[in-house]
Amino acid sequence: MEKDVTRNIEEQLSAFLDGELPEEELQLLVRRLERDPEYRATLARYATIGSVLRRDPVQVTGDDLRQRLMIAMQDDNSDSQDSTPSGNSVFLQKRGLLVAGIAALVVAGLYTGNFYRDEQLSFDRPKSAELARTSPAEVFEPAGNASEQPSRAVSVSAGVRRAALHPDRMTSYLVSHGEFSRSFQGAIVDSRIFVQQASYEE
Amino acid sequence: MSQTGNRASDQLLVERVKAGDKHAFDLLVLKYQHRIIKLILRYVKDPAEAMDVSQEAFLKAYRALPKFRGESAFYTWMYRIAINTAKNHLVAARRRPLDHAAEISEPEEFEWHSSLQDSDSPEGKAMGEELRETVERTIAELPDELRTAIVLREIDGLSYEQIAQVMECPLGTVRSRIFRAREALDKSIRPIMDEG
Repeated sequence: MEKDVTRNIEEQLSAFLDGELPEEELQLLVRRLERDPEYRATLARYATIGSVLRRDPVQVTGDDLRQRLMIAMQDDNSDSQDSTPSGNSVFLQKRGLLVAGIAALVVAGLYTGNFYRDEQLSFDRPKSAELARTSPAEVFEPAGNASEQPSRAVSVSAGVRRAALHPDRMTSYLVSHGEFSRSFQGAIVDSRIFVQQASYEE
Repeated sequence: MSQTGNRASDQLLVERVKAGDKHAFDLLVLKYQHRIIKLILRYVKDPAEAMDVSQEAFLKAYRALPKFRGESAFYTWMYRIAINTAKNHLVAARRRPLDHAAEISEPEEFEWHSSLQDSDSPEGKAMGEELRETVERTIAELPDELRTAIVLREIDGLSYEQIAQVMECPLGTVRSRIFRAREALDKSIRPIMDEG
């Protein structure tokens, strides 16, 4: 009796492998396969038989791949579980946001020139003295004949554009004439002072 | 009939994976691993490397499965993932595909074009040879109707309905004959598989 049941299930496995199992048998078999490694092993052997008959090259190593995949999937799931917020991870996330916020402030500071140091960051910025010598016409017109020295003309032009948007000038301009210039009540504010103070406090 | 059946049963497994059943994905792997490895071996000659790429391809599929809507058959989708993974692997390793015949867009075409290749470790190759000899010997000893049914299914890829027409017998008989052939073959290869 039990042998008949087993044979019946094995016949279902065979039809399942061929994609020929009727819907009503399919649900039950899949649930059975889920909890019975013996039937999964039988199914794997049936698949191997087909592979041997078709002379596929890697019929022997298939189980190895399945084992490796199961381990990888396990790791995958535990990784995603780790990423769900727990008490500790919420704290870490908040700390991460704080660090990201500070980093954004630093980047914004660099962009507006607040943390500018001539000696340290002179790689692509014209020095103040050079800027002072640059006339407005030079700022918008590339020096030299571009057609004679095309490669050089590009670099000069890029340098000039950087000079035109120099952060020190921009900051001063915005402090004096910007939308919120009134809030400074006529005082000239150099944000570098605050940066220096902050560094002393550290 | 066969394609629709495969598609329906694969879709059921996909739904189960989406619901969190990892064993259902194992069944999909079990069903298609040989074909996927064979496909990847067209791009990557080294079997160990091909196994790594196959693993990566299946893992990618597993991760992407929640987005799989079932508009195409699972195997077609998996086949494309495998090709892309193999190509990316070659690009990362700065190598060209081994076999340009593998530039086939549809899995059905690949089945037609696939040739016989032998590549494995010495132990695996020896075991493969033993398996092959055993299967060939057993199949030669099978009654005619069982041998014809299994050959039409596994080698010629015919559906049960087509086999029923060829063999002029009911669908249930085809199912039973194919199973009995597998049962006999399984009995003969089991000692080798258990050894390995």
